[in-house]
Amino acid sequence: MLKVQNVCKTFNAGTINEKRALVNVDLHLAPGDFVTVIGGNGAGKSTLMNMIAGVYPIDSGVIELDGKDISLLSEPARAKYLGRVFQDPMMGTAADMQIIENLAMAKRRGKTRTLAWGVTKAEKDEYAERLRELGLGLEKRLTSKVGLLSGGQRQALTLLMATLTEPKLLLLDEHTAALDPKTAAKVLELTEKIVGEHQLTTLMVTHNMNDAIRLGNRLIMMHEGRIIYDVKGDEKRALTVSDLLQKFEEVSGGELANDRMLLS
Amino acid sequence: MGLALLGAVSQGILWGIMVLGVFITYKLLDIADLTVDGSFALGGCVCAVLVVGGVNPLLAILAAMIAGMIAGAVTGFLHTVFEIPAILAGILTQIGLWSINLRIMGKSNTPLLKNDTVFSQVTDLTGLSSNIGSIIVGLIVAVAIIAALYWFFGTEIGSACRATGNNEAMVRALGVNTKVTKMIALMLSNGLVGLSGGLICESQKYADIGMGTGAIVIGLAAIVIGEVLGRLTPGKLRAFGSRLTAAVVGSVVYFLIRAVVLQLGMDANDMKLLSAIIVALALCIPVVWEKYQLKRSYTRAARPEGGR
Repeated sequence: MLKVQNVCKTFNAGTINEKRALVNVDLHLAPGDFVTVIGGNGAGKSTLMNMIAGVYPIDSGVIELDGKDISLLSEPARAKYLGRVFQDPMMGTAADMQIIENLAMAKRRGKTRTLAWGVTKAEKDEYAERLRELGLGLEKRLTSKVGLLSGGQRQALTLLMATLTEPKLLLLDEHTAALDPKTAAKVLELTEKIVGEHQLTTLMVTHNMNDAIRLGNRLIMMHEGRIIYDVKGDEKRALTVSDLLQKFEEVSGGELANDRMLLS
Repeated sequence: MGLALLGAVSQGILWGIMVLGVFITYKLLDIADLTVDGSFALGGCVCAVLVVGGVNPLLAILAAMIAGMIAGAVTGFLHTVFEIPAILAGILTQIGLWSINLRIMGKSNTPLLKNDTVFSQVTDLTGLSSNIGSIIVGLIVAVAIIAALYWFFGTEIGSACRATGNNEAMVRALGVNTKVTKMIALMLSNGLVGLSGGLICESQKYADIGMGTGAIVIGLAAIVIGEVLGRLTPGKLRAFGSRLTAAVVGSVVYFLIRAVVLQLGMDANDMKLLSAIIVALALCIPVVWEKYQLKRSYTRAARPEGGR
């Protein structure tokens, strides 16, 4: 489904702040793969997501999605194939617009916008039904401004928006990191449910090693712009947090865990 | 006094169309677009030259609108393609337009004293006084534009434009090119500003190189006044159509205040200072009020559970 081949990205090349964010990254995802991505700060996890989404152009390499070379497509052009949820709950929704307006915009992801009505009556029932599945009572607040929702509600809404039109690839960039533990668990539960129901190919960055082990069928670990560990199937199911820490020390000669990872 | 107030209402409505343009950039796109001073005068100049040249006054106003849209496109081009900050892109276009406007007119002032205008056509046809005539023409245009904007910002493209001012990253992630939506909004906005410039030119029967100076401040003042009035009304007027209407009403109130102050003997040249003070105060008060509330709500003692 997704083929990342030999992708490199360096920020501020040639300056004192030069940062080699991705170094010859190779990653192939089969359809239906649910891959969790872990790594320390500055490992290149978010850069990998942003390169796939086309936020910045890559320096070299090829990114293919479903057999189509998307390496040079602009961010809006790639949006057709991608569902995205960001770390910041504010980033995925338009605060001054209604819940239903946000959903209607998401429904039209990848389609050419016309002068037809932005929200049609027929859509309303569909959205109410999908919101009901979230179990947050949002179906009764279709015309509320999104700015009135809590961070967790906004993140759940963003997740629904990202999958309303089924994406070829779902990109989750630490989408529960800014939430309190209880809300994070709820959003993660919804993630599992939605990904499972639609068999979505998913790439999920997380700083929580337990989540990374528990969710998905494959786990990759990144360090200094490289994928240093890639495990799937039974081997992944048997992993423990201490295995991961040890693995990291082996490969990198340093310690993986920052405080944030150990505490969560 | 009565005549002055009637004149103020008609001016307020015609300028109100410019205010709708400013509303699009300032409120929906979250940009203070300084092109407005230039594109307003551009609309007036284009309209005056065409009317003097014998073009139908209605067509001249449409041409003023198109000229305004082109000015907006220039700002949009500088801002989106070359990533010049919006405020600077607007200033560049505005300054450039000063020379262009002089070129269009060939002099700094073009009178239309002997020419027909849409307003003279209406008053000749109906026998109404000139003030009433321009109020009616202004109202027809304003209502039509509010209806059109209400429709447009409810469409798929319009929703994307509104969301662009809210959250650009999200709009791009949903597959919309925000360069295009910004361009559309800036062209639409300055088109309305040019249209308003054309109408004002025909109603005052001249175009002047300086007619747009301070237009952006008038626009902001009118929007702020409209918002305050909206908040004072029981329904709070949050719906989009009411916010547009409030902007035009704010413009009328602004020109009424202006007429009253001038009648009281204030120098007309001081009016710009007054406008600046109104806008500055309107922007300051909410900030000061919030800080005051925060300070006031502090107590040293512990609060009862859930108390304020």
